[in-house]
Amino acid sequence: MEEGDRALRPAWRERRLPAVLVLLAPSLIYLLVLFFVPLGILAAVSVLKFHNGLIVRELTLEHYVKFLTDPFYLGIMWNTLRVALIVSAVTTLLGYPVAYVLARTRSRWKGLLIALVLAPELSGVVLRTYGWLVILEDRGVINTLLRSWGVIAEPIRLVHNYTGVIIGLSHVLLPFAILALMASIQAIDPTLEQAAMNLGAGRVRTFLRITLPLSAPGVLGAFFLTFSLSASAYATPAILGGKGVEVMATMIYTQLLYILNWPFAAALSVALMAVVLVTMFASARLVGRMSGVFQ
Amino acid sequence: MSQLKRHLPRWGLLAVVGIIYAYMFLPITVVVLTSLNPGQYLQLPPRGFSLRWYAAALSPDWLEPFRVSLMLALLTSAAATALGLPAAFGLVRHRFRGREAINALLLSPISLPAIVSGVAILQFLSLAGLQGLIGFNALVLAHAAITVPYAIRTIAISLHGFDRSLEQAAANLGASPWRTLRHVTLPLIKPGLFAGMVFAFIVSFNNVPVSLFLVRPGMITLPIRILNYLEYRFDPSLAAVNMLSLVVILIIVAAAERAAGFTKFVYGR
Repeated sequence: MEEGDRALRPAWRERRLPAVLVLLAPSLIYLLVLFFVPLGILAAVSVLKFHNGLIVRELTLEHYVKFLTDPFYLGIMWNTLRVALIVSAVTTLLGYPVAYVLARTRSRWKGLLIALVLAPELSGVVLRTYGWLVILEDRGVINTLLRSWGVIAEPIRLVHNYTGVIIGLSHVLLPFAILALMASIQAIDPTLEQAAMNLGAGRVRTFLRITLPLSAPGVLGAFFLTFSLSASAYATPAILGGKGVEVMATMIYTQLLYILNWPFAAALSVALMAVVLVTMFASARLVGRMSGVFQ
Repeated sequence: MSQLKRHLPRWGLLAVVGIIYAYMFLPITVVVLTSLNPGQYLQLPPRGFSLRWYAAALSPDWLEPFRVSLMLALLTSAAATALGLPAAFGLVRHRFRGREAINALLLSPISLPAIVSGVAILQFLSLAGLQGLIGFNALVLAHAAITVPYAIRTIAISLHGFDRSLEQAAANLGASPWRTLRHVTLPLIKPGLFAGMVFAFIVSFNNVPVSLFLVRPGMITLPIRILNYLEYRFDPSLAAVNMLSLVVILIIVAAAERAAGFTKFVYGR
C-alpha cells in the first residue's frame, strides 16, 4: 500500500488543479450562487406573467411595456433621474474646491483633512439622514432659528419633498465626489501650473486655463459616480421624502413587499440596473476618451 | 492693495472649503446635540443636558436589533475576509488568461445597485424553496456576497506593494510554505487584511438596501429597525440609538488601528 501510494504521487501531482483555480474557486463559486444566479433569476422573473397575485410560468414583456408606457411609472423614473442629476451637479460643484485644496496642499495636516472627508462615511446613511430630518423638519433647527429671528412666520417645507431628498443625498454622496476629483487633480503635474504663473498668469487664470481643463476626466467621473449612486439610493428618499416622494428604489420596495407583484418589481430592478450600467459605461468611454486627448 | 488682490483667491478658496467641511459635519453634530438635549425638540443654543434618551436607547426594543447587527457584521467581515484572501492571492500572484475579466466579476457586487442585489437574493431564496433561511442566515450569506469585493481590493493592494524577497529568504532559511505564510506573508499584509475586515464590518453594520428584504419579524437589524420606527414616530431616542451605533464603529476602527495601523493604509499614499 505504502509503495503504491508513493508510485501514484507524481501522477497525482500532474493532474492536480492549478493553484490559481484553488485560490479563486471559493469566492467565484460563492458569488456565482449568491450573486450571479440571483441576478439571472431576477431577470427571468421579470418576463413571467403575474396573474391574480401569483407568478405564472408564461413568458411576457408586459411588465416592461407597463413601465415604459404608463405615465405614472415613467414619471417616477423621470423624478429619479432629475434628483440624481441635481445631486451629482451639487456634489461635483461642492467637491471640487475641497478636492483641489486636498490635492495641492503641502500642509502636514493633509492626512487628517482627508480622514475628515471619509469620517462621515463611518456613520451610516441612516444616522446622517436622521440628522438632516432634525435640521430640516417643520419644528427643526432651520425653521426654529428662522422663526425666532423673525425671518418667516410659517415654517418652510424643507422635508417630505424633493428638496429634502436632494439636500440629504448631496450630503451623503459628497465624499465620493471629493475622492474621485482628488485623484484626478493629484495626477496633474504641478509644474504646468507653475509654468503658467511664471509666464504671468494669475491664480484664477491658471486655474481656469490649466487645472480645470486637465481635471475634466475627474469631474466627469465624479459626476457619473454620484449620479448612479443617487439614482439607486433607497434610505435617504425613504426617510426625507416620506409619503409624497417616490423614486425607483422606493417603488421597487413597495411593489415587492406591499403590492407583492414580484415580476413587476423585478422588471423595475432590471430597469434601474440598466440606468446604472449605461451611466457607468458612458462614464468609462467619455473619461477614457478625454484622458486620451490630454495625454 | 495688490497684496490683498493677490491673496484674495487663496483665502476665498480656503473659506469656501471651511464652510463645506462644516456642512459635512453638520448632521452628526446635530445628532450629538439632540441625543444630549433634555426636550423633545432641539434647542439652540442648548439648554440643559440629559441622558434620558440614552436610557431609552438601552431598552430591549433597541438592544436586540443592536445585537443582531453586531453579530451579523462580525460574521460578515470574517466570511468576506476568508473568501477574499485566497482570491486576492490568485489575482495578484498569478498571471493567467481572463484575469481582468475574473477581477471585474469578483468586484462587480460593488458597482451594481445594492437594492437590486437585495431584491434578487430575496427572489432567489424564495423560488429555490429556501425561505427558511430568510432572517439571520440569509443576512449573513447576502452581506458576505456584497462585501467580498472590499476584502479582495484591500488585500490585493497590500500584496501589490509586497517585497517577495522576504518570502524567498524565509524559504531559503528552511521555513515551510505554511510557516512562511503565517510568519512572513500574513503579518506583512496585515494592514490590508484589517482594512478589508473593517470595511466589510462597516458596510454590513450600516447596510440598508440588502437587509431591507431579508429581515423578518423578530430578526431585524438596527438600521432597518430605525427606518421602520421613523415611518410613524420621530423622537430623540433615535439620536441616542444612532450615537451608540457610531460608538461601536469607532471602537472597531480604533481596535483595527491598534492591531494593524490600517488608517495609514487607507489615508497614507
